[in-house]
Amino acid sequence: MPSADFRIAHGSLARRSLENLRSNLARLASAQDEVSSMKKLRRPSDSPVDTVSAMRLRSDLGRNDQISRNLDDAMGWLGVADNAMTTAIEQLNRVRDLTIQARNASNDAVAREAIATEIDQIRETVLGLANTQYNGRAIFAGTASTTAAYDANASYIGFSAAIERTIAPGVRVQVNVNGDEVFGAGPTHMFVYLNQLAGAIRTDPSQLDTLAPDLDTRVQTMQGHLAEVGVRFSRIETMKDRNSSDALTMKQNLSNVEDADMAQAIMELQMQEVSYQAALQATARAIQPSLVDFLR
Amino acid sequence: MSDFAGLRIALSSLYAQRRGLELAGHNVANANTEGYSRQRVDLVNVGAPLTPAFWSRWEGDGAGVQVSDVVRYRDQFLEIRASLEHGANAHLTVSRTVLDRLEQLFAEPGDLGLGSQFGEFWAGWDDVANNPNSPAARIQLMERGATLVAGFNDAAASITRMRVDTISELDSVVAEVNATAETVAELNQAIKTAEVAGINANDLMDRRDLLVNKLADLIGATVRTGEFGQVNLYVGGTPLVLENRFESLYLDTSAPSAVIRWTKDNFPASVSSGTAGGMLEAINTTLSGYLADLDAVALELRTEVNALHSTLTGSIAVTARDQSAAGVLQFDLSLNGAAFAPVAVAGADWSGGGGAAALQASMQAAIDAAIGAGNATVVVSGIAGQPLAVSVTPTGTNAIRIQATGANAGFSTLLGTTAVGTDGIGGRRFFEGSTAATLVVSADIAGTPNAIGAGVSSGGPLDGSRALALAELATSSTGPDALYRSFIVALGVDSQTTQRRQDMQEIATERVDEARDSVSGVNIDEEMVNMVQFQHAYDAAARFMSTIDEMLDTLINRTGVVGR
Repeated sequence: MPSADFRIAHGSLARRSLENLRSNLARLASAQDEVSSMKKLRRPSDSPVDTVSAMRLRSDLGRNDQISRNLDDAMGWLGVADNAMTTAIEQLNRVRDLTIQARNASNDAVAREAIATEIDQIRETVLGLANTQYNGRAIFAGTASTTAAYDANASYIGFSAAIERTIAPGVRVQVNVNGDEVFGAGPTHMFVYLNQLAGAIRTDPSQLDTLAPDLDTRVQTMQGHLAEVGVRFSRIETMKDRNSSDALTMKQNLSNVEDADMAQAIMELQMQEVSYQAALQATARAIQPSLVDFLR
Repeated sequence: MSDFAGLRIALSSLYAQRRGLELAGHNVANANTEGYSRQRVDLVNVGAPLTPAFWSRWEGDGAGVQVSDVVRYRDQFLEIRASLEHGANAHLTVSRTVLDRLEQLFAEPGDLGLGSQFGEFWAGWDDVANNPNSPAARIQLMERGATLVAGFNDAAASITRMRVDTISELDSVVAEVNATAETVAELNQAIKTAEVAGINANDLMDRRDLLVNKLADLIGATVRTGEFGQVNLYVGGTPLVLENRFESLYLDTSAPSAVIRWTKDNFPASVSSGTAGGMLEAINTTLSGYLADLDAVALELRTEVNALHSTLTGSIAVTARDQSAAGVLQFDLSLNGAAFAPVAVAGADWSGGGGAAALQASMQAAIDAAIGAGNATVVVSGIAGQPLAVSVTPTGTNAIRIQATGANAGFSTLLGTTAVGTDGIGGRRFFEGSTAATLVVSADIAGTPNAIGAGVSSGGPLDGSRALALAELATSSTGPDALYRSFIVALGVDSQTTQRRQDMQEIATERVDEARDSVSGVNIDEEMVNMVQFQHAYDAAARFMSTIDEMLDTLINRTGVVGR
């Protein structure tokens, strides 16, 4: 501010008043902008450090959103696989019961035929389960473009490979189980075996002594894969919870960085309004009088 | 002493007081005139002659008053300071405006900036990875790629347009500088003529000083006082106006960076201040700098995506290094869109230490035979007991596409980690162009969603592993996103610093203007006091004159009438 002996020109007084009014108005406009946009971070120069946080959080939120969709998809895959395998194991347990029944010497040919027919039907059911689809893809067929894992002759036509989903930045999990691992491939797979079993029951029950124990090994293998799927499923459930709580935290942080504190912003706006009005009044007072008013 | 001397004294006072009153009026009249400096009369009393003569001795006390000068209130040191401050302020104001417009252009942080388009693009890869067989996911990714590229193109075009606009503005600034300098030189001449003739040139000086201030704003011209009330102006130490001569400038845009040169000798003028200095900095440093930084982000995007999408690579597991039983390993290569040519590499046992070199030599020879020597380089590395890393790098700008030969396993065995489209063709680039302005989704991909390489050649038809890897670029700390963020932060810091500097400079400029006003500005109260003062003096002089008049009347008309 000018010192006491500073000479004040009227033009300068008017100019300074205008300048002060202008800067007051600019502050008022900025406060108003903050309230109406509800954002305190409107451009990078408002705070470069907060800008980088905001941009990173926005990008992470976008990623989080996509990961949440990945997780849903992964749950779909694993859920369908879990269902199919659980049902298949139930069916195979029924096969074991039937085998034990068939080994009972009292069964005559008619009874064994009935058992064999039921095993044939179970084979069809399990084959259907092995060709289960999710979202248009055979879940046990790996990355093959076919719509089934086993063709009409029950031979494996899948392309065994891991199908992965990103479930957290940098973390992938396999969402499929390859059919050849669960049901087997080549000449000894599940469906050939069930055929052999039915054939033995029909014609030569004595073969069952060598064939029957194999069923337990196969069911155990399936249970192993089922457990694996279950573990992955529960891992994904955990990740899903974490992902949505992460999203909340990130939204909160983004809001802290970007959004205006409304109470504070409105207070600020009112203070700027008051200060603008005061400046207007002061200017009106300051530029009015001069000696002219008092000379006659 | 003459009897009428009193009348002369009264008359001199009437003249002088009226002159003072008129000047007060002139000052009040120009209270709001820009660049006006208040004036006042310097009065001196008229005394006895300095050298008395024998027969004409001075017997009186004084002979009244006279106006010795009309003084213009102006502090030359403040003028010099003001020109510096104004020049710096004009420079910073231009810089601030340019950075402000750049910030608006990028609209960060927000949902409309390039940052969120990046996010959408990476998310698109995830969707393709989840559904490699879905045309919708592929088309969506293609469109997002096109949108991202358009964001870069638009930003680059806007920066270039800002630069072109600034150049044409600067051109008109230089023209204005030339015209103003010419007028200053003319006014200098007029002032000198008037001063030499003893005529009051104050109002001419005011007009000239206003133009001098304008030149300080426009090009940061600095002032030195010359003789006879003239001023000399300098730009970067070289005279722009010397008394009644001036030098003109022109804008040279023939080189990539714009230069202001002197017309007389084509030497570059050193302009670092004023509007012109700010514009030069914007054209040559700020705008081209940010454009180059944006180009770097675009190039990084292209490089990172293409590295995963178009590189021909393979990794042969330790157990698969013995390929002697495989027979001939085949695949087809196409150089720059030509027809596919078969490449045949005889399978051999590459398990030993020399396996890498042997495979490299036989693959190089087979590729050279198919597409011509010098078009691609094969590199195979890996010591015994380690997987073999195979890569085929096209030479220069060559584009090499690859596909399997029928059911032969050559492609998936030798170059199994190459990204392939659903048609089984690999080696396509996703992006083309090396600057933000020229970046495009390559013609191979645009319009052909199935060409997007979501999987790798050894991964089966519905493999999505490459798309997964591409989606993960979103969180890479060295990827294009991170580079773009640091670009925006640099812009923010630059803009914030310039805003603060300009705010401070604005205050410094206001202060010096106030100080200048304090010397030169018109204060109405003061002028009113002057008016009253001169009016009273005028009244008193008139009264004095009538007193002398009455005295003379007494002497002339009333004396010698005794006894009449």
